[in-house]
Amino acid sequence: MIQTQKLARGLSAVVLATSMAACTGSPAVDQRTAMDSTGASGALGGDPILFGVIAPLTGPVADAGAYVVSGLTIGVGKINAQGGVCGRPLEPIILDGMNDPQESANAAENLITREQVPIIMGAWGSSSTLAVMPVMARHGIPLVVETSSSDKITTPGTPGFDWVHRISPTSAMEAEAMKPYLVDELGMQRVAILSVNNDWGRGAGAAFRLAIEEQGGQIVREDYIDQTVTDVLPQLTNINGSGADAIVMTTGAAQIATILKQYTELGMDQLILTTGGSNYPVAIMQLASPEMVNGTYHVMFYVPTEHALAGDPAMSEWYYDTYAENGYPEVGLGESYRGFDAVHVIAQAIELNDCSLEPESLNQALTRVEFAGLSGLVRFSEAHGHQSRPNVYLVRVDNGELAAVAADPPVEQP
Amino acid sequence: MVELVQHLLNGFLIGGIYALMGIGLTLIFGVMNVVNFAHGQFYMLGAFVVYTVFTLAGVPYVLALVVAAMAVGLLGVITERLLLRPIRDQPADVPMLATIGLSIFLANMALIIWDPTPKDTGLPFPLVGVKVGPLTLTPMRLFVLVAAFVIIAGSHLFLQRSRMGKAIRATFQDREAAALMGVDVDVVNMVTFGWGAAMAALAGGLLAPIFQVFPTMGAIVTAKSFAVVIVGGLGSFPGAILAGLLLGIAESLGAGYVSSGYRDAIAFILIIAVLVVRPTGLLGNETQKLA
Repeated sequence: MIQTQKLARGLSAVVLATSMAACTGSPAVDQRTAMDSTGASGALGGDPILFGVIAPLTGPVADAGAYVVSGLTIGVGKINAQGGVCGRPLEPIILDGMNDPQESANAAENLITREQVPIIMGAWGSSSTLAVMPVMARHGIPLVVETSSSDKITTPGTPGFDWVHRISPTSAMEAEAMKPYLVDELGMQRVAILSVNNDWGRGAGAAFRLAIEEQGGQIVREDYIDQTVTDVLPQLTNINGSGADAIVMTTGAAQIATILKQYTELGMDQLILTTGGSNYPVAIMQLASPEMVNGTYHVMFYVPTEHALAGDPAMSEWYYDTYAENGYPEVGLGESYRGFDAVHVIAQAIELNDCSLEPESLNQALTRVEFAGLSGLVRFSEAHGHQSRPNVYLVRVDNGELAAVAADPPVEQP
Repeated sequence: MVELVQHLLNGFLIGGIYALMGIGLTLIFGVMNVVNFAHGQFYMLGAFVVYTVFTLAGVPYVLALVVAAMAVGLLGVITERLLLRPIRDQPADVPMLATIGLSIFLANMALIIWDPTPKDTGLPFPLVGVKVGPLTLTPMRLFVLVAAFVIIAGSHLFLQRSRMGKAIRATFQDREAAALMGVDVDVVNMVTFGWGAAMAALAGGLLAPIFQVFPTMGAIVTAKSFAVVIVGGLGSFPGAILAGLLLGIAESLGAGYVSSGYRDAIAFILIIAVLVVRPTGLLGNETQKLA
């Protein structure tokens, strides 16, 4: 009996130890050695150049974090295969921020104080990025933001603003780019907003409200739901009863798919527009069904199937093929490009900084980066030199196929 | 008015699942005095087993539900035998900590086995709404509702009529007296924990086609299940049914008429309100009975 109790205690200890490891800020995924699937980091001389990455690897948006990391992995592999940065291989240290502000801030502290990285990419969600920014400012380490879109991040006065450079567009940029189409082209006269309840969703809600109202449209309902919510029948019932002719949704692909399922259940027919860039329609189709996504519109920053629209069409084509060759899930293609572009920005900044990893001058070097990436030309020329302006596309899904029906900047016809 | 009725209907549908979750949890607490923080993870595993058996292997959906209940029920039995029984006589916080550890362990195991990408199980029944007057109801939701109440009724019959059910009720009332009367308390505990886990798995399997399946889906469900058990009265079978339905309807009305953002807070407001007025829960009392 005593032995059984000891066994049980041992089992409990193992369970708890596993749990605690999962809970702490220790690296959930440390990909220091995982870069040789596409690259040849081992052939390069010198110590690797470490940089930090904060992404949600567990939690409700863990899939999106994994996709960003897959793009980053391809990017690091490509850079290292082409000789690395200043002759040294790049090596990411990836910590799980869980898309939780507190966890993301802890991850930033760990990366800076324990791993002593000179630069960090992250932290996916706007609320998490806003929590990380004061940590970056306190330690004087630059942050490259690849996903977040809350306007606050690149608004002067936000704690940590001086140390942040953002590739992803702000919600205001998205709304501004789509403004000519929303009311006049898509006929969105009475619009309901249904978004995730965080800085990202609320920021996008405010930006699209402004854009729609400026064009003469009307917002008839605004609902914000937690990112873990799966039952949205109450919100959809209200929207259905509000006389809305369109719904603007800003949340991740998985939650959009859940909403579309219940939208179908209620037999609704409002026009659907999703925003935010984590809304890859292929992912939504796989999680709902192609029929449910048919006829919906999506604001995107990279359309993987339309290489001509990318900042570098040849690179887009190579990326598309490499992504498939590496066996990454197709559903992640529309999110993964963020990691790919971001690692190239970091690499170029280090080279522009004469290979120095001194954080303050590295932060300055970021302002001189010009990289024709998958999401357009990355150049931090807006919001006082802290914000890039990627391409923004309006994509319509018809019979499972994606077609860009509008673009900002407009695509020149051959 | 139409909206109100639709909200009530929606709340009733989700409330049936809350009741199913609550019954499993309240049984485990009532019989074993274990606060099971891994209940949501059994729900998650049920959904993943349905995904694997129904979606990937092509087994009929109802059979996949049975497989999910049996597999997760067996896991519950093993958990009771290896993890909980040896610490049964420890203070209540020891098994509680063990189930917290187990919950994170199971979520991380699911992350490794099925990866973090959300999964779609596909639909065993049409999801397109059928209009009943001004109201909309889908065959899938109707199946979920009917299945939930069949499982609840079956559980009630099992408790009332079967020899094991009587043994469970006897153990619930007084473990030592039951043991003296020849009830094998170890077996009762094992069956109860396995049964509770199986009910959570059935709830997960029933909702899997409507929502998505992902490793962290159990966390919020655990919290909701606790709300149901506390509001209904710790250890009260009918209390769990009543509280489950009440919570579903309160959430639906709250999200519909108050604020979407505070939907999850409604469960906890309900707990506070009930505990202030009736500290033992709606149908709980000093000498609770499984009836």
